[in-house]
Amino acid sequence: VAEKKQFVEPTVSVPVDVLEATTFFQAPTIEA
Amino acid sequence: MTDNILRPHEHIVYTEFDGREAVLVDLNTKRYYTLNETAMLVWRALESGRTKAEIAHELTVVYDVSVEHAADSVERLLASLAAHRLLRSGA
Repeated sequence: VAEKKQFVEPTVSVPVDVLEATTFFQAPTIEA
Repeated sequence: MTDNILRPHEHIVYTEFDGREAVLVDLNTKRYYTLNETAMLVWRALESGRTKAEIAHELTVVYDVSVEHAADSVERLLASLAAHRLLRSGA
């Protein structure tokens, strides 16, 4: 009736610093 | 398996991506964590206030796994989540 899914061990990753993972937007500029 | 109930902390934001992966963002530490599909089921069950035994049983319903194996896996995941201070004791 309902095939069960293959079991995968539940995992939580190592923490990542949000600020480190963020690339902040810089406005494109042109210099004369 | 001791069955004191654990709950997600209020400062943890949970977001799912396409049902296969989820991200936890800790607003206090500004860190994020990735959960796989099985861990997502556990996290949602914690949010619903289920006990460890209930979560293990739920895993056996969805996945091809024995209740003993599921209980061990839940225990290990909760220990890891608690070590990162993502959970609190709840009544």
